[in-house]
Amino acid sequence: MRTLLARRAQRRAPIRARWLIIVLAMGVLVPATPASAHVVYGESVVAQGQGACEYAYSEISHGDGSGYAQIAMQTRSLSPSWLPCGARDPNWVFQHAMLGIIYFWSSAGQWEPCFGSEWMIQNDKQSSWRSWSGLAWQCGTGWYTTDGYLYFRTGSNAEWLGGYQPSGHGDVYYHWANGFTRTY
Amino acid sequence: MNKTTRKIAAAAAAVVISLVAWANLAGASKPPTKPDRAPKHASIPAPPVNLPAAAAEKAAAGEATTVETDWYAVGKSLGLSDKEAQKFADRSADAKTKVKETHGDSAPPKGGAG
Repeated sequence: MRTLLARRAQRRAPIRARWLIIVLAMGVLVPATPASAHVVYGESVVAQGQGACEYAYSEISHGDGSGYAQIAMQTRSLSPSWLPCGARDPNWVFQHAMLGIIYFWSSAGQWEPCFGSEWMIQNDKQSSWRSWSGLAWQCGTGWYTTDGYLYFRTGSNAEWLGGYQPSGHGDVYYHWANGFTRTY
Repeated sequence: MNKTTRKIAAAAAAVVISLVAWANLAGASKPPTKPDRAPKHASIPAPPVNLPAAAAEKAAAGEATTVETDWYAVGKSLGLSDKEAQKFADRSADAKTKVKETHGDSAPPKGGAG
C-alpha cells in the first residue's frame, strides 16, 4: 500500500509542480499588466459673462500607460435659471485660450509641477480641446494630475473670462502613469 | 536525491524566484505613498487682452497660436525654490519636444483616453 501511494505521489509531483509554477507565474504577470481602462476627470462651469457661459473639463488617465492628460471647453448660451449652462450654441463665435499644468507626486510626498504648456489661442471656436500623452517620460513613473486653465472672450479686445479646472475632486483626481513603455 | 525530491526542490526554487520577482515588480510599480491632498493651484494670469501682433495675426487667420508663459514665475508663485522653479521652467520647455500634444475643436471627447 505504502509503495502504491509513493508511486502515485511520484506521478503527481511533476504535475503539481507544473501547476504551482503556472499559478506563480500568473501571480507575477497579472500585477505587471497595466491598470484597466480608467479615466479620472472633473468638469464645471467656470465662467459666465459677455452673454455666454463656459463649461470646462479636465482629465487624467494612463492612456497608453505613459500617462495622458486632456483639457477641454465649450462656450454655450447663458442658462435658463435651472441649468448651469444653456444647451444652445450661441450665434456668435469666440476666441478660446487654453493652458495646462501637469503635476506629479514626488518621492518627497508632495505634488510638484511637472510641466506647463504655453497658452494656445484659437479664433472662431465654440468647443475645443487639447491633450498631452507620454507624461511619465517627462517626470517619471508615478501619480499624475492635471489642472486646465480655460478662458474665452467674444471679441479680440474684450476681457478674458474663465478659470481653472482640476481633473477631479475629493480623492478622485489623480492617475498612475509609468515610463516603462513608449508606443510612439 | 531522487526524482521527486528534485522536482520539489525545483518547485521550491520557483516559489522563491517568483516571490522575489513579484516583490521587485510590486516595488517598482507602486509609489511609496499615494497622494493625500490636492496640489496647490497656480495663480496664472489670463492671456493679455492685446495679443502680441504675430499671435493676433495668426489667430485672425484661423490658426492656433501660442503665447508664452513665464514658468519660472509660476513656479515661484507655487512656493518652489529658485532651483526647483528653474527646473520646472526647463521641463516645460522640454515638454514641447518630449510630450506628444494634440488639439481639436470637436465636442470634448470625455474619457477618450481610455
